[in-house]
Amino acid sequence: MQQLIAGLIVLAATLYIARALLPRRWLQRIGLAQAPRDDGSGCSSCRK
Amino acid sequence: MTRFPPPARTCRAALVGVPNCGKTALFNRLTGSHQKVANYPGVTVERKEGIFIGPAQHCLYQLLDLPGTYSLVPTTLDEAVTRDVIAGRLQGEATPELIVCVVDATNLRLSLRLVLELKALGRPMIVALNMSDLAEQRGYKLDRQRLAAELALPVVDTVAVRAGGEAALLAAIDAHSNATASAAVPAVLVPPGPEQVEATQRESRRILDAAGYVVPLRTRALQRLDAIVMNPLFGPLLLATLLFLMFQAVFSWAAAPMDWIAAGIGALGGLVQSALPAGPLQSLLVDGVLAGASAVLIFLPQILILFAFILILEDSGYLPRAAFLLDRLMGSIGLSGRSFIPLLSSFACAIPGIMATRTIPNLRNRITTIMLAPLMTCSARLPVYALLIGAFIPAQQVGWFNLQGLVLFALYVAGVLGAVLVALALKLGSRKAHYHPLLMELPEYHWPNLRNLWIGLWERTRIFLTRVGTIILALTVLLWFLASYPAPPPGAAGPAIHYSFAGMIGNALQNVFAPLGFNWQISVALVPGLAAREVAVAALGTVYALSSGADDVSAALGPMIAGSWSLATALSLLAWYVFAPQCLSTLVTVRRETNSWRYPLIMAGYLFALAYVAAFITYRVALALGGGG
Repeated sequence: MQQLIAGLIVLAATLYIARALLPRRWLQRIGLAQAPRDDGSGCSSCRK
Repeated sequence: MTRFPPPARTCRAALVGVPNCGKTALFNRLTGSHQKVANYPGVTVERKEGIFIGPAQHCLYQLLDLPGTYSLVPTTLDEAVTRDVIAGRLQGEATPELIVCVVDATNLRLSLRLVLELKALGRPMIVALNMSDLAEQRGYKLDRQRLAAELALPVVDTVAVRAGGEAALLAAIDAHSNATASAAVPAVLVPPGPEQVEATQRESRRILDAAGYVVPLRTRALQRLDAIVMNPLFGPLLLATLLFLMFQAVFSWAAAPMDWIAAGIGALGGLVQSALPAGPLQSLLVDGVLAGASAVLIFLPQILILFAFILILEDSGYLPRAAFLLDRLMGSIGLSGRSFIPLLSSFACAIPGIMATRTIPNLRNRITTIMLAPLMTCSARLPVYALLIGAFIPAQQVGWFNLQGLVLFALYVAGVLGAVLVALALKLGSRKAHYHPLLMELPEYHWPNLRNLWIGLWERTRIFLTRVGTIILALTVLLWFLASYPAPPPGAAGPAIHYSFAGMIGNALQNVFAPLGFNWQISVALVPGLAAREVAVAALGTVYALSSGADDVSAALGPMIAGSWSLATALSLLAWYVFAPQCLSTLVTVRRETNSWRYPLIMAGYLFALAYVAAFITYRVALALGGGG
């Protein structure tokens, strides 16, 4: 039982890290992220 | 904002004004939207639009809050946006039909040049005399009617921070939109020559004299204070002393709360061990979660003390003066005073610092500032520094000073010196380096607001706890798995971690890091530490917990590494952390801000190279001086 719970916790942590670190495009393909949104940073007309 | 039946027509208006005139607060008051109001340049760099219906209910106003500007001759990207919108030449943005020029009633001299430049465009315009209540309280004198007559523009009083303080402006906007229904046309802007600028200044002074504008004398005490703070000799000395005291306090004041947190974590570990039988889950909770994530949590008091000092200095009006003091120094290494605030923000975290570089007009200066930002000692380094200093540097007094505080101060100085050397190298490598003088408004001194201080510290605590509870916790759990599996073969000697995935990775990496004196445990910790610097502390906690099998490792990481590392290794790791770009988020932010992978790759390359060389030299020198024992 302990092994099962520990395994689930490790799986959840791995998915969380994958979401945080992997490129959004890859995550979208495997259904872990939604389509990109404008993050609102900077002026879209003049950003360099 | 009250909703009414749809009005007959819409009207586009724009708020324009110098930075810090209360423009964004007035925008919030008029449109009912909620945004952050801050003093740092660049806060209104994003496009902000809101809608409201005037009291006469005949027009729906679309209001733009434009970035603050001192003139229609731009020096930054933000100011260029303002000019282009006003002139009607920004693609996709309709020209405003009405300009509301917001001016600070306590600083009319600074704003009037912009008013005159805008008036010359010939657009319908209203002047909003903001902070008029404050001006009256402080004894400023002004004949509003005369000012309006001299400018030939409507002038209204506004108090953006008070409900109803926008009433006069709303009435004026309604009255004006009735009179001017014509569509705005793009204006032709010709950059003024020196004679024209002088003529505008003369006209501005004449109008203020005619309107009887009288500025109250500053109190003598404030004048004396500025004479010391801004003195070319005493100013930098005072700044160095303040920073020095700040680092002393980080160690001296934080000891007791850190002990409380350690005791709490130890008690929690004991509770888990007594409640759960030995097994993978108990090991995960005690050796993974508690030993790892809590090894970082213990440094919260030190981070809060550091930020309390920074917030107090910011709120009191001292920090812009520090920027002014350092402007010449920055110029000598190829930067400008505008780089100071981004670099200062980087002491908290390099990410907001890198984003704040948008206000630097010169692209070369901006890239240089971005490249230097990770060298400023961010708060994520503090747990690493505090762990190593606490373990290896004795807590003794040197004269009046705490030795641990002195070493921490030296590490901060090392980061700044590294940045100076890199800036000088970049300056020498560039033929086009030129100095842009700093133009900024120095706010009045005032006592720090306790509510602001509390909100700032709470925000910092929230950010820190969120990181501990999310990415650090997740990486710790994953590292526990890598350090626990596969299980050692039957009859194996030594700790189980040696046979695990983490043990294999550590042994492979040790070949790379052995010349720096790093053992396999440090090598393993540096891998998850690439995500964020403080994760390395959590990783060390987990790795040592699984290596030793001790019961209360979560609270005893310091003594454990003190017993197993040499002083030379500890100093080498400190030198590594002064330079190494162990923060993926920073590199991603640089990619986003520069729109290219070139700069983050250059940044990672040069910082890792610097870190390796600095750690190597430190280790070898420390060994030669007898620090290998």
